[in-house]
Amino acid sequence: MDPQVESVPDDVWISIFELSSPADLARLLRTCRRFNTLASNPLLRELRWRRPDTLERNLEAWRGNPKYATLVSLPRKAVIEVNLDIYVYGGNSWSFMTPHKFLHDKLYAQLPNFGNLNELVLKDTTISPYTNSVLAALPNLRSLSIIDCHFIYLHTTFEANVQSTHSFLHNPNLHPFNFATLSLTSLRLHSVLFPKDAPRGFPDHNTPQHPLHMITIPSLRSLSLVWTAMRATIYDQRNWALPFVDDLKIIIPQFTREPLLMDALPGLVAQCSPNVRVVLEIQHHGFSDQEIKAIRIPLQNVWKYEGPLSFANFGPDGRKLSSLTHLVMNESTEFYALLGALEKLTNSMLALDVCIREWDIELLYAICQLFPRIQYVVVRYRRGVLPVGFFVTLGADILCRLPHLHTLKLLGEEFQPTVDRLKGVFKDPGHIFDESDDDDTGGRFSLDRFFNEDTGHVSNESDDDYEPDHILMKGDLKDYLGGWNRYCKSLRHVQVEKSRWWERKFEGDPWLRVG
Amino acid sequence: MVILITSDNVKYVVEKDVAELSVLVKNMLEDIGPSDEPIPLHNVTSTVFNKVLEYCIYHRNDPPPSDDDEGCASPLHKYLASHICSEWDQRFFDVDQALLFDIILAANYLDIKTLLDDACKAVAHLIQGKSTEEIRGIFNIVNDFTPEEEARVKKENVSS
Repeated sequence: MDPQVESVPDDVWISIFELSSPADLARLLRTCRRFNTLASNPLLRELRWRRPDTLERNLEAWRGNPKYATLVSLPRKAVIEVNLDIYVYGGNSWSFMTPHKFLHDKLYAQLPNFGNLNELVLKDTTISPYTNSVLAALPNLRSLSIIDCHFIYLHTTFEANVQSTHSFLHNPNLHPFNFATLSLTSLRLHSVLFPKDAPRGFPDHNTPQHPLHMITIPSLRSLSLVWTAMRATIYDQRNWALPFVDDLKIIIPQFTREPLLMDALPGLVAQCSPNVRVVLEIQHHGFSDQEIKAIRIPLQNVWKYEGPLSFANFGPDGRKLSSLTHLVMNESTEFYALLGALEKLTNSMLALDVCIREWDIELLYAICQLFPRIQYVVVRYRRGVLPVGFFVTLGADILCRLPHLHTLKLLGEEFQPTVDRLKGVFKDPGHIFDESDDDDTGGRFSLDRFFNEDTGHVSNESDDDYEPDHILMKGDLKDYLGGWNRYCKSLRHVQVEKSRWWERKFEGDPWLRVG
Repeated sequence: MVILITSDNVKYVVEKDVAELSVLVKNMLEDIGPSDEPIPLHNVTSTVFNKVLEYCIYHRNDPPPSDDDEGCASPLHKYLASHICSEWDQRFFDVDQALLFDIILAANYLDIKTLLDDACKAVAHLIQGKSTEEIRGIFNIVNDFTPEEEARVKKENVSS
């Protein structure tokens, strides 16, 4: 080791390793004895389980290996994505004595030993009333995500001994769980599913131990909620107060005619903190173009909207919604329809991600006229090409009028939009970015499906070789980038080709090609 | 004004608020009371101290770091805290590795928490995405595992 590196004290190395990703730590562990000892602590800060066999092995190590017995205070975050087959239907009866049932019990018996666990993600796994009592046994838990989990009856009576025997079917003596005992500040509650063809006695949305009741936790500040007609109905009856929620994301997987779906939403927002900032995402809808025109989403405080553009005219009485600064479209539209919808937005827009059926440079003219402060522009076009000489026009007529522009992406048809595409864009200070990380695979799926359904085009591997050879000037884009610096000092990311772009970290830096 | 002398006998006259970003210097000043006596910095050379001073002058008006990041810190805040340095900071740490580690050792000795944290981020960035062999190369690390240990290290993993 370099003598200097050698003399860096252990606690400084630990501070460095705490900033490293688990993948980096795994490699550091294998470099030498000293790093093996020092890097193993931060590595255990985050536990991630995806497969039953590795989960089984890891749990054995935590239980049996004395080396780890002393380290149970290290994990801060656990991600459980293990699909557990707990219940099986055999003949006429349901049974839950599967091998995974024992794994489930081992897992949930181990979790409370990680006393410093601060964040828990449950995804594609099985939850039950029993899960609630395990959560209650984690005093430092602040952030919980429940994403696409199956909810079944598997419970104790919430007494002290969480490992006591479970009852599988509904037990009338089961106390309602006291959700106020959890001190979560952040909750992501996405789909909660029930077993298919569940017989009588299986839980439903009204079960008092259903995780939907977690939104009543008084300490909650940040809430991301999948909003369905069923949940709207339940919420409308209970009208729970969420007085400290100031960061609310509403995800509507299917926007239907069900009246309460939208009508109960303003009530939910009104029950939040007066300063609440709302993100609204609409994944699918079943309305015709005519019907859409009549629809108003009576919602205030929305700063980010993701979904079909036609619904973006929310706000009371069709007035422009001044709080909206970020908009992400998930279905393409004709130029004039797009223009009409953009004109309804205020000039305070900062980020725009739009899909248009055919490339039209007028769209860029419209954007720079309507949104002088825009920082992030993505245009996805289904047909058409960027014309020869496009970059000259772009610089002279458009970019010179957008001094705040940070990111510009003009992407041809092959780009499949994903909901996480805004992620990581606003990485430098002073910009706002979406904090939804590792989230919403449901949304991504739906967008892909939309595109495939609409065009009949199913993407396949060969698309990766697609080269837009019509962009004659792609070779000299770098020269243009240098020139644009005169008026676009904030520009950091420019992309006109699939999986290849130009970026720079700072204003004076040279542009680098990535991909 | 405070007078500081580096290990190679270079004398610096520094404004008090800048000098006191170093907890070591601050404590020494409190100990000696009002006096013009120079403070020796035994473990810092002038080359490194120039760099440290540049940082302290730039950051003299920053709010003090808070220890209260428990509980309510959202993922966004954590992300910002661990990844974002300002443009100035990124340029500041764009130095050769030897100097970077000198800065770390100096920040640790002088007890300047923000400088140490930022320098740690720079080293974490250095390691990012590198293979085990590349990391050994960067720091001149000798693989001191026995073959048995190495086999065990490769296999062992409790977080899947």
